[in-house]
Amino acid sequence: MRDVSTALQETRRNGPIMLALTPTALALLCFLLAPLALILFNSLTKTTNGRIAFSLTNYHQVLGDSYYWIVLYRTVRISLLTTLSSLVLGYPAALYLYFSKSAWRRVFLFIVISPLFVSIVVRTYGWIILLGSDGPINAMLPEDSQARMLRTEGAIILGLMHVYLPFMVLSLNATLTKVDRKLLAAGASLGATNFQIFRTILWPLSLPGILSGCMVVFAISMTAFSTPVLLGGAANKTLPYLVYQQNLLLFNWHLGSALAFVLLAATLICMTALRHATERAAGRGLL
Amino acid sequence: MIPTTVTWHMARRLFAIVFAIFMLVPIVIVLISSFTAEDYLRFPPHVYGVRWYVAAFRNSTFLEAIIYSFEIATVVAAAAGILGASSALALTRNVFPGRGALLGLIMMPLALPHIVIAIALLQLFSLSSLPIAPYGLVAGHVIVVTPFVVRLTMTSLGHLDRQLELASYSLGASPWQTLRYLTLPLIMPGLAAGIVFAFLLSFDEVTLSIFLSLPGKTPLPVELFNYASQGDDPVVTAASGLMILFAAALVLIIERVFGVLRLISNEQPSLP
Repeated sequence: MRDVSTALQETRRNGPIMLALTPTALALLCFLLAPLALILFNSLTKTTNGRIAFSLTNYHQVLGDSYYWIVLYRTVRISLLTTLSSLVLGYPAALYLYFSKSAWRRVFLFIVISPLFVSIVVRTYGWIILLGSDGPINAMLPEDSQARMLRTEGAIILGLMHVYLPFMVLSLNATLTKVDRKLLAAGASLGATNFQIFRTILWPLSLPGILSGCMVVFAISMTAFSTPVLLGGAANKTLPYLVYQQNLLLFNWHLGSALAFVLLAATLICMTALRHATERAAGRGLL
Repeated sequence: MIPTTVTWHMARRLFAIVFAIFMLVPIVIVLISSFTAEDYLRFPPHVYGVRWYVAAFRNSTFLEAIIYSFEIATVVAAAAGILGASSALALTRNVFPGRGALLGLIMMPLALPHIVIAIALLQLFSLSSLPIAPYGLVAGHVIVVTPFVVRLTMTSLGHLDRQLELASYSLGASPWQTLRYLTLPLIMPGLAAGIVFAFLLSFDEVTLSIFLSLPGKTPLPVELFNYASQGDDPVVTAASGLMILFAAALVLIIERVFGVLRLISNEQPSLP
């Protein structure tokens, strides 16, 4: 009897939980898991004469074509440069946030974060105006050094870096705020110079933030779609554009899905390689 | 603390100013150029006016896109609010098998590229008789913004004193009464911030919307994307200006009511 009543109590307790979670679980099943399973299936099959058969042709087609490798290499290169430049610019910004005690600190943080609330298209459009051939930057340059800045890889990197800098700064900030200031004071009291304090205390302790910031920025740069298309033009296509092309212009679900998984795999492989390289370098005292 | 020399101090301040300008420059440029009264874009404009804003509102393409974006974002924010609040409550208050897995699944869209979610939904809806827009469009947006609502609501719930609920039960309140009159009002700041966030994220979303909307009826960011890929145009600038002003108004509201800085800077950044 007693077991039955506890069981009943548990159902009574768990009943509402299950009820509360059902809509979310259903939504995730129908609109996340099912579609992902579908594109995995589509990437591993091909349709011939209306019949569907398992085959690796799609992956062969992508990996056997040098065109895709060129685009993939460009995508990785752009993402690495974006990551590196956001780190170089974002690190001093995070240091400013760490050290500043003035009222401007809040304003600065607000300015770093607020672009996140403006649509990526609008922010990218700002760069289109700025970098345009009749734009303000070219207008400031002397006639003979004016250059075409739009539709270049540099424009893509600049645009992506601007869009993702807040993530880098926030990630570094999250790690730096955990660094106890007493450690720095202890270093100073032992006669260390500012540079020594930075090099031996602050920098090593900020490495986890650097790594996570770089991972985030790299991953979203690899898969960014709108900014590279708007700033890169036809000559600088990245892999996400080819995914768009296969799916939305050519309606080739099989190749389109395979390309998406190649993009995901390339991103994960590069991220793992980056993480290993950083950890090994840190382990050997190189960082 | 570390002794700082005057030059060092100046350099730091100078860097902060240059960095802040860099962060704001594309947005400010769009805003200033949008208030031109001339026939073409020039920076800075020689004559200022709101004629292109008037033109954007008279332009049926932009007006329809603005209205469509509002409709989508409203439905998405409401759905994400309901799904997010119910799952956050169920996940924080109970330990049950599969809890971690479900939480991981809810948060998964943060780690997945939008372009992958977009083509997956595109291919799924091509199999069904349901039209991709607005159904697939709303579904995609909801999947992508719900993690933010869940996270903000769970943070609020984490700060909530469990004793209050126990007190409510001991005074004879039913679970429903406790939820309605105690828990929900107390977690409202987090939940409401999550819902406003969800609205703004949906309103700003580009990639998902490009893949999941039908030609002829597109949200504003997609319309801007299409126009912007053809170069600059004063009407597009004005429509972009509208998005900036709208985002600024919402951010000021969130900052006033909930403290945007507190909400975001304490959080690990997540993929957009």
